[in-house]
Amino acid sequence: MTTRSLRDVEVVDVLRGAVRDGSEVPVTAPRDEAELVDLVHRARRDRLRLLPIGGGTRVAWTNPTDRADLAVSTRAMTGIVYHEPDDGTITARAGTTMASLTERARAGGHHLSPDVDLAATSTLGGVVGAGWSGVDRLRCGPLRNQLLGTRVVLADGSASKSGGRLVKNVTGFDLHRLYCGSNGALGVVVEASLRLAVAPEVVRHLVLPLDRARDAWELASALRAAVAAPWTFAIDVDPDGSAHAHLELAGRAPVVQAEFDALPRAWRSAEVAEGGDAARAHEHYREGEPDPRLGAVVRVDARPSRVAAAFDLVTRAFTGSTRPRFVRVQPHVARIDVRLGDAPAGDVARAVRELRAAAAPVRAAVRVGGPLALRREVDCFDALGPERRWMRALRDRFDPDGVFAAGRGPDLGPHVGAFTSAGGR
Amino acid sequence: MDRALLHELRAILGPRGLIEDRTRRVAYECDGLAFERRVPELVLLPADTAQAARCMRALHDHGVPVVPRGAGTGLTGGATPVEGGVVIGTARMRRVLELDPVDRIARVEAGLVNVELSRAAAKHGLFYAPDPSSQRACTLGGNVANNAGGPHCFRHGNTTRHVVGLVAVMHDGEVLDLSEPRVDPLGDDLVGLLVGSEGMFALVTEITVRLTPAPQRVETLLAVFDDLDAACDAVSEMIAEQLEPSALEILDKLTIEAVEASVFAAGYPPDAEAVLLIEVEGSDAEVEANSAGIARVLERRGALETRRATGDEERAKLWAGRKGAYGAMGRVAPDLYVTDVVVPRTKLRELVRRTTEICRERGLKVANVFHAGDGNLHPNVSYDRRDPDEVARVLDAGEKIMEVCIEAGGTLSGEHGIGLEKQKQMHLYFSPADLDAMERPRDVFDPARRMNPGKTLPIRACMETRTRPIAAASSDPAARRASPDAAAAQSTSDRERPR
Amino acid sequence: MQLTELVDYAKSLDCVHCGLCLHTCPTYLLTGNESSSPRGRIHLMRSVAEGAAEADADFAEEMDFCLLCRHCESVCPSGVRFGRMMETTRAGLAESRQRPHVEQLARDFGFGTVLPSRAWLSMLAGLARFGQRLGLDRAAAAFLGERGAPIASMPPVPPADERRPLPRYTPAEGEVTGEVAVLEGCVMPELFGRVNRATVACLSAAGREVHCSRGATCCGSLHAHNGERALARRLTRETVEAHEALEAEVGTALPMVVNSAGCAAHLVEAHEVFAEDDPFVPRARAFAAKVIDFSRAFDGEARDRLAARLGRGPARRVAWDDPCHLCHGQGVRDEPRALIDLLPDVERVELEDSEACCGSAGVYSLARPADAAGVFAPKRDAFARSGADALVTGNPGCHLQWHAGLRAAGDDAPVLHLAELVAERLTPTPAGDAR
Repeated sequence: MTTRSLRDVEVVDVLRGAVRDGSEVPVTAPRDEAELVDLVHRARRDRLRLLPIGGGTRVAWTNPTDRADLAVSTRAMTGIVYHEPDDGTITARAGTTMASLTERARAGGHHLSPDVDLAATSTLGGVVGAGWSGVDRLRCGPLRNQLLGTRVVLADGSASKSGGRLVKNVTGFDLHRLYCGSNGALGVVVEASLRLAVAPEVVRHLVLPLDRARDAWELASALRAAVAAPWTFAIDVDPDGSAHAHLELAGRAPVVQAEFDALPRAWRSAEVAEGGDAARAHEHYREGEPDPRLGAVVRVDARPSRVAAAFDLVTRAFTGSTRPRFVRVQPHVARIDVRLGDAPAGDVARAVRELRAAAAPVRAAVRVGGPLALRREVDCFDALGPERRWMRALRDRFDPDGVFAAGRGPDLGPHVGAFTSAGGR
Repeated sequence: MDRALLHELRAILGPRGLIEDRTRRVAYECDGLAFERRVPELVLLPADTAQAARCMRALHDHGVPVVPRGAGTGLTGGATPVEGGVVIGTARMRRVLELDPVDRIARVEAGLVNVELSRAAAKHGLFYAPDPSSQRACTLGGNVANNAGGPHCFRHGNTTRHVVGLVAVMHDGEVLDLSEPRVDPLGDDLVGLLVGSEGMFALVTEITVRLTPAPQRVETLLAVFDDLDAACDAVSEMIAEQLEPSALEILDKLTIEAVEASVFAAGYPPDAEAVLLIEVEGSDAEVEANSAGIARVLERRGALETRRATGDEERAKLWAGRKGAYGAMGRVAPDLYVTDVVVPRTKLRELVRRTTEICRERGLKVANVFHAGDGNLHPNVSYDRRDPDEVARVLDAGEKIMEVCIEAGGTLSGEHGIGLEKQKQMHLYFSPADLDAMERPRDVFDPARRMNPGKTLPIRACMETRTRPIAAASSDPAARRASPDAAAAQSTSDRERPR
Repeated sequence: MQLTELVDYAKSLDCVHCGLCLHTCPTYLLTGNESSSPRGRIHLMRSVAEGAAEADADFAEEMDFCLLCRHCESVCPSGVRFGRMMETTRAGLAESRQRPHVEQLARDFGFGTVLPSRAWLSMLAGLARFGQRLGLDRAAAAFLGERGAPIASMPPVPPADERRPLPRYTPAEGEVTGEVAVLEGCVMPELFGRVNRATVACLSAAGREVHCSRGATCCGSLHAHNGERALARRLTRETVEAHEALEAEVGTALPMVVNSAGCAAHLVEAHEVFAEDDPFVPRARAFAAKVIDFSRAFDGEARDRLAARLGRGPARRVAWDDPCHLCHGQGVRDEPRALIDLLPDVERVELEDSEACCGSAGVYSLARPADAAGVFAPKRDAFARSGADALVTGNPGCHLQWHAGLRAAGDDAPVLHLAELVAERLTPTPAGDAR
């Protein structure tokens, strides 16, 4: 649906699978903040609905929206604004890819967290919008720990910052925490600052075949007691039931050696990669993260003490036509990712609903991604409690006219219209 | 205070839960920032979330402003009821509700004292990482409000990195239960938004925090310098070299003198110009690798001597000296103004020097004791609040310090928050659009502007920034008579202070 | 009335409002009310001095509520001398305020008549024993309700024989290592004659010749704490003079060993009771320098001598509870523990928060039984958790409080003075019984 005001907008791509009715959405990519602001103003004037995206890499993790006239990608707004290796921070425009940021950080002697999969197409803005953490989260923590500040364009066309580029800063409210993971519904991230981590001197990648997936829990608890901070730890389970554990130790050479020596006996039979081999093993491991563009995926998060229970529920929920193609369990992060491939959407949706009902008592969260057919059948997110009232109010306050396409995140209940503020009296 | 409301609150809280008489309420007229004071109309001390919620509901119905308060150890006036209303203290809410050593989390009430949490966690080989210098008095609720820091936040990060859940009572009395720790937030990260919101979005009554495994080994080093610049440079170099101590603190000569005269005498050498207190933690291998690198930097930067604390007792002593430094400065003058700015860690030497000059130019005595590793400066300016001229010079110096730091790419606060103290300077760091964006969640969480009113965000009209004058000057009657300036300031003071 | 008389204004300026004291304060922990914290009380004092608050009944009540345990002083980085400030404020209040007639009479009688007089103390102790034997105490307690609680929980007054005064001179056992004086005290000989005798026995066993003056009764510490400044000065002066007289008589300077932490804390600062320009100050100062707590009376040779005299005794697992006026008032923490660790058949366990007040606080537990019980509650729990089977203390007030508090909770664990614990392990010698 091309309206008058969009005629002169440069369409660079089309986005599929983002709108409930299956329609394709034209994608435009403003080159700078001014172009984006202009676009927002026009959308407001002409009552168009914009769908903010980064590289579009993780759209299939979100609910389809009811209506979107134009997808606005920040992918063309690239470049590093500020990088001070001696202060350990980096600030870049939203379209900068995670791969190039990682490269830049490495040149300055740092590790860039989050270390996300699909880094070549993932953009900084997209990762912030999606609240996406990397495979390094066990060691470095989630993205929100690294995020020092953002600059966003809001629905009224104003651009504003929160936080900054200092490693310690409590000036003003942490709105960047709110934007992080809001899927662009509150505003479009145009710039973000990250704290850089110390680059590990050496990395050792261990792969240990497990006889049974059940052994995983014992392995996990023994490891937790033995090694304070592994870089990654996961157990991958193939459809035939065979499983292997991945463990990465990273840091200063003597520290890694000491951690290696302290590993429980079971790890002695692990295959160990170092140097370039470890780097390749790491890439391989990272690309084993679930990609909903390739088929249905289910992500179950729980407390560490309940991961085993959650795993049992997953095993029971997905059988027959929804038999998992691949499962990755991160016991310490407390996350289970299940790939279901091309299982029929209806069956997956039913299994997910059953799983959600069963998982409620252990307070596990169940998130779904996959083809549009699936995302039309089942909510990508769990139903929220009373807190959704406040999230709804925040949406309505930040974007009273619905400039940004809504509904990609958890269901917040009905739009209550423009927020009337009693404040500023 | 409305009689019906009072009646209702009494029924909710019982006799020990509210403070009605004016004399006792005087104790709540300010926090650690003594410049500005106002006696609250009533102080409420609920015993749990349910009581707090009923109080909030009643106060909402009567349109009364609410000022949340922990232990009142804040340094920016965040807990001062500048616009009147009711103070809700969390002092009777001090329980540890849950401590799970497997999931490494604790669920506690907001009035629990920071150090008590670590004490409870220690039994399981865990600790709570943020350790503000006031940790023996400050509450977790207050820590959440200010996103508090502390020396060990250099490695572990401020409070926000450790808070994984909250229970908050909203302005209308609704209890928002976000206490379950989540791998990623479900929906918007309300928890992240509430941390550091200085009591302006909600009354936080319960907090779920992440606990950290106690390191295998901890080593504390005390490096002695005959030059403050060299100490600063040593820190900058450690950061650039990516060394990973868990804390990097600098104390200058005046601070050392004050600490050594106090009950927290730590054995800092009194003739040193500066000491650098360094802590290294982790596995044996980690501690050794880091210590070796640190020792090399210290040597290059001309440390006269490096002491290594051998036992827990000696370590505790070195830290008690650092953490008691603020109070120990009380020996130097009756009042103390401590500011809290952050600068890029590449510019430590330059800005420590500049802030010291700014104070000296104004004839003020300044001591530096700060979280060097984070670039978080704390110039401690001593003054006497009964001397209005000195008060004015202190405020002027404070403003100048903030300006200079922001020009150098720094920020207004690293851990104390904005409160009343830095409201006026917010426009130095934020544009009107930035500040407008911050009003938006406020419209949602506090449409009537009853939650800790008059704090943090500058009061603005027609795009002009305006704040109430801080420091209504001295309240000493003698000093008021003595100075015409003070008499002028008194009118402000009268406005702030109902008789 | 001069405000500076009511409040030590200059000292209130030392406080920088940092709040580190809050969580050491028993009354703050009890109520969560900041006006019941050291910082809050100083803030109130300062506000009164500056005319921003009234010294009204609420103010007076908040000042009375303080236990004067001085825990806050131990953690105050600014070195605020809270105890002194509170004494000044209470003295100012005592002069200015109107108490109910009966209460004022009772106060005057207690502070002005009984405490300074050995005769009155003995008579009342005799009377109390008589009452206890007849069960009148229980009747009185029942009659008085809450205010009668202290009567009901009072330990039995020992028989007259145990209340006999200490000998004026006790020779050293074996070779003499030195000469000391002991403070007999006011309430001590009436309720804790056995502790006084144990004190002398320990000193004697360690080779000390022990002198005891008859010239003074109460040292005035209770008076100073409770705002009875004029009486405090008189009694302190009498105590100093009596000691000087004793020294003159013996012909040598004598350390003054005190087995009551409250009295010792007062006497080590005896000169501070007087106005700065009082000509008596130098004499009081000289005396103050000689005062030591019982636990510190055994150094070097005396310690070795005492150790050599120790033998087996009842096996005990003890917890040492630091009396406030020992740890906070005098900074003595290690010596009592070291002394206990010397004892055969005694295992020492640490008491959680052993430096927190037990709620005794001199006459506080009599004046405010409900608050005292509230302050005591966490101590009782800590004791239960500690696994100890006996509680050791070094102050008569704490002794009574623990005794009553544990009994009220149904715990009959013995409460011992440190001197008693040591003395029960002294091997008997022909020279005399340690008891």
